[in-house]
Amino acid sequence: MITKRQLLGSLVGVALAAAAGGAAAQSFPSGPVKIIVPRAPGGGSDNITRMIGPALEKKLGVPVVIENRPDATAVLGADLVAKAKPDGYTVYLSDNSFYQNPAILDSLPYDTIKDFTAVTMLAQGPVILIVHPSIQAKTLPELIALAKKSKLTFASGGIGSSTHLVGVMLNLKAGTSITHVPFKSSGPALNALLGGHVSMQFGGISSARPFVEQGKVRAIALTGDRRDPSMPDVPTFQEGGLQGADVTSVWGIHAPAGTPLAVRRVLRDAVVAVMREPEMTKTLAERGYDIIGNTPEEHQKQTEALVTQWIEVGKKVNLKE
Amino acid sequence: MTDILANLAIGFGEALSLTNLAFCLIGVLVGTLVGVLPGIGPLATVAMLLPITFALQPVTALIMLSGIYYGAQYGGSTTAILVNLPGEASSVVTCLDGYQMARRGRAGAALAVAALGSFFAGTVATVLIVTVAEPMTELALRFGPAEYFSLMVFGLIGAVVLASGSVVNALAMIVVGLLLGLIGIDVNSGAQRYTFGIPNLSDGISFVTIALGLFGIGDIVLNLERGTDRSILATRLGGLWLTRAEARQAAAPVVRGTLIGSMLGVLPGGGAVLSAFAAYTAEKKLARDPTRFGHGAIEGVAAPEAANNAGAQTSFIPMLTLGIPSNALMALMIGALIMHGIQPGPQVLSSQPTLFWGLIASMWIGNLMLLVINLPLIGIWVALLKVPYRLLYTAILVFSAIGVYSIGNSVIDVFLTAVFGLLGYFFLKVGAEPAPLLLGFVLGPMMEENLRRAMLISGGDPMTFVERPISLGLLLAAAGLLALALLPKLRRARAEAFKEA
Repeated sequence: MITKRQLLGSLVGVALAAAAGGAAAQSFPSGPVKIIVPRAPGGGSDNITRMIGPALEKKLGVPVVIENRPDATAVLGADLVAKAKPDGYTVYLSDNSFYQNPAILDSLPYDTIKDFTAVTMLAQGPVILIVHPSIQAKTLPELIALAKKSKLTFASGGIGSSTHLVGVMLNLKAGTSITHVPFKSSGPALNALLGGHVSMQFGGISSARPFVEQGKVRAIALTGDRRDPSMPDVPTFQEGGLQGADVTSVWGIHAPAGTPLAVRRVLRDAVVAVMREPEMTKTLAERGYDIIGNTPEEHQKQTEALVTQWIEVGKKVNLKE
Repeated sequence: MTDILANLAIGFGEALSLTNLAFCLIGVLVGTLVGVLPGIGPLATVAMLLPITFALQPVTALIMLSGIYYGAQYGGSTTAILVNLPGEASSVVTCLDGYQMARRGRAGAALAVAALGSFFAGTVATVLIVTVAEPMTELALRFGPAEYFSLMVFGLIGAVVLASGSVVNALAMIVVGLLLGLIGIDVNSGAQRYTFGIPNLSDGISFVTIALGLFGIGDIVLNLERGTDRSILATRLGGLWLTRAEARQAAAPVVRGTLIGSMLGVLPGGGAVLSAFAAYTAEKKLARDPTRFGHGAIEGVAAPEAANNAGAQTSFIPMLTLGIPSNALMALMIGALIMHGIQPGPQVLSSQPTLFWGLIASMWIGNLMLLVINLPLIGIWVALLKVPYRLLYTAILVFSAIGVYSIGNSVIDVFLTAVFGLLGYFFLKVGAEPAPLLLGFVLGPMMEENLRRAMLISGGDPMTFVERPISLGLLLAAAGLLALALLPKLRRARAEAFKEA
């Protein structure tokens, strides 16, 4: 039974917490903001952070420190943020692994939903399917037909990356069994495709584009709802008749659970303002980043949906192959 | 030919502008500094400096960032020679004979040959990039998983041959290295291996942790135990320059090391490391008296130093011609290009000729700067050895700890380094060589990954390794090396044959 005093106490507590939140937002930020990037310098997740970092520093008026905590599944960096003080001064650059890890890894040192709170989904990027010119298929249906008759292989940028999971979804939806050949990142995977050591590769459009233009690889399809303006000739997977294979690369920002909404809004507004600067928008687009910048509330729902979606997929298909 | 000269003229015109010269100098100076500080590598430095370069012209930014990269190669060998601390994987080999030379009072000569050898290699590599960048890229593309696997086999067999002690001993150390290399998340399945649930081990043990522990810290412990006689170092510092005999001995190894490094540097991944090891092995095989190696043979410094610098430079080839990074640092360079609005790829050469040729010309200029900076500095570096050991080793320990911490911002790495220091001390006590262990550690995981990739691609058919010509050639070469190592009789017979002839 709840006594009056307890009730009053908890009400005061809530009011105090809300007041503290408001006060925190007014003075936020008053010190350096640290963005933990779970990948090594030079990758897609590091690039976007380093591109917006200096502008964000100007916008917020405090130093923005980018700290790389790289590991293969991006667990280390996430765990660090999960256990950081929820004050908005330590945030996490979440990429596909963050949303997919609950479905792929047997155990995580943190709870993806309960230990984090969303700030914004920065951007997404389509994944492109490219094949070696020696492969006798020019369209997605042709490629699927070929894959059913002969033994093909696909290269990815690693287990659990978006480039791997599009392949998993393609096999699942099209009923093919194209062999997965994982590489440590997309660079060596592209190398293997150029040398003709694998039949096809899933990768980012900015690295694939020059080779498609030179005819050294052939573009088959890309993920997403619409064609990409930088490669208007390449159809989407849906146009190719394959529904539900759309895994895009995503980059979001998460804060430790308990970070006040007002603080997250300050961060989100600053990041979005920076990305919407014309010069920055142009550079991001060239690099293959499609800006989203949704609100903390929207991103929270999105995070939960993505995590659930992958857990469901994981029940149907072995994501570790 | 006239094309090449015209292109070089464009390049030097660009690289010799006052701004570009200044940033080239800043780059090589910063590079030398981070190279000398153990653990603080060029990767972290370039990542930190990247935002600063946004304000610069793309070519200027790239010139400075590459200066840091090859400057660090110079700096790394300095600590390897003076205090047995390999800052980079590629300078592990330099420790073997370089440090021994320093102990015998020839630190100056070792540093000089490293600087001159690197400069020669840098010059040749620059010419190579200009003339044969394209065919070399084609060659690199023909290396698929099967070829890489065979190359790793060749490298590991080379490590056995490289050991100066017993073959069994070297094999055992390689296996220990392979086992250590298995720690972390398996690339093919995402499964955790030997991590004991410690998240920091999920990405494996860092190379610097093992190298600093086994070589640097282990040696310090041993020195403290036996109260090493440093009077040799203190009194016989004279002769900073190479003697005529030393120069003659070092000349051919530098040339061979340059060739090996230029070839292997183009390959992604372990290129630069493999080239240093391969160059050392080659010298040891070619030497009339291989027993000198490991005890301060100047060839053992000259060849790998030339090889790693040549390799560092030719690793730009896939980046510049294909837009494909051969290591993490090249990936950052590509990031830098993109942030400057240049899409890396085969079209860079035609669309950005001043950038392409300017960068290449600046590499040669940067190498010249490094030589000019480093030769006079040799005296100062060597004088460091006169610092009382109680001060020197504490400084080394502090800088090592800072360096190791800065790799992953993790305290666990510092403790791991201490553990490997004890292990290194143990190995020194029992007379086991740590170099094969490190090679096993570096190459083992790559070998496994590529073995499994090759098997996935071939559908489980092991014949793929002998059906592919490059792979077969590498395996045959490895078999040949093994035969040489396992048949000491053969070697003796050959030596006698030489005597009679």
